[in-house]
Amino acid sequence: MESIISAMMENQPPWFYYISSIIILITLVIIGIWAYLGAKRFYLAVDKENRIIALLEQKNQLEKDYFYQKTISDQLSEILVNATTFNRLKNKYFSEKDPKLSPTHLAQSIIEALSSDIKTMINAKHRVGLWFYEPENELLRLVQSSANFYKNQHDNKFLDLDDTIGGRCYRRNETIYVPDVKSDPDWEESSDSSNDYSSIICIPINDWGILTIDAKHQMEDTTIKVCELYATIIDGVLSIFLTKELSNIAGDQPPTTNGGD
Amino acid sequence: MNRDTLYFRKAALNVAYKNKELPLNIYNKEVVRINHQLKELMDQERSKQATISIQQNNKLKKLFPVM
Repeated sequence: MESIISAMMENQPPWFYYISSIIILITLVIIGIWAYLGAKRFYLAVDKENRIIALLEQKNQLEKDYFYQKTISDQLSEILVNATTFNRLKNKYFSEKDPKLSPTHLAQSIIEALSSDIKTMINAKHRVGLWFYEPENELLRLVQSSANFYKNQHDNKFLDLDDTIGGRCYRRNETIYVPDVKSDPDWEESSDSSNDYSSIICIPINDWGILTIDAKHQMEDTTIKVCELYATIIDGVLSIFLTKELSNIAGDQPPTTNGGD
Repeated sequence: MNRDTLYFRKAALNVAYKNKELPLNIYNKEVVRINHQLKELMDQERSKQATISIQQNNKLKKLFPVM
């Protein structure tokens, strides 16, 4: 067989080789172009599929963002309604239109509202505490709190002015947000802090004390602003209360009774 | 007057004194009065708690005489 082929090849004229070479070259070029076009089409199809997957991912992310923004927007409108109501109640308390209104009830309502209004997730849990500064022992005492905050242990709940985040907030008279309390040098685990609250916002209320908001997860910037808004309303209520107390003392009248039950 | 109101009043006095809106003698007088009221309130709460606990014990003794 080998001898037949070599005999055939030897007997071919020279032009046969040229033409054969050209035909083979053209065939190779055609196969190459065809392979290139095939690969290109395949690449475009895969790329299209990847882009569709990327677009779907983007769509899902946008949907998530939309629902998150919608939740925030709904939450903010609810907060605005509550803040307006509390401001009205504060004005009523100031003008003494409603004798049943008391600063303690107002502050408690604001604290309870704040602990629920700042929730952005279903399983989110917050607790809010109002602490007053006591100069005689240089401590901050928990006076009022949301329902889940040591309701029956107020008398024993204090914050040191020097070695706590709350104390630092009061000393510096500035809002402090600690996303991870365990990383804060002033945080110390105590027996009654056996909980999983991991972040805290502390807001000073002038010379009165501080408002603390604990959360089991990191909080948003909007949460800090909302807390500051509610703290401002509490500050307003306390300022009115102070004015009334001073006028009671100045008038040598018996202390106001619309503060208690 | 409840406990919260007394602490509010005490805090108001502290703020007023710090801001020099209240003379020391009046501040001291009022703080002593509030501290006294707080002590009375806490004593009342303690005695109330003790009474409740005794009542509960008596009820339990009636229900389970062996105990």
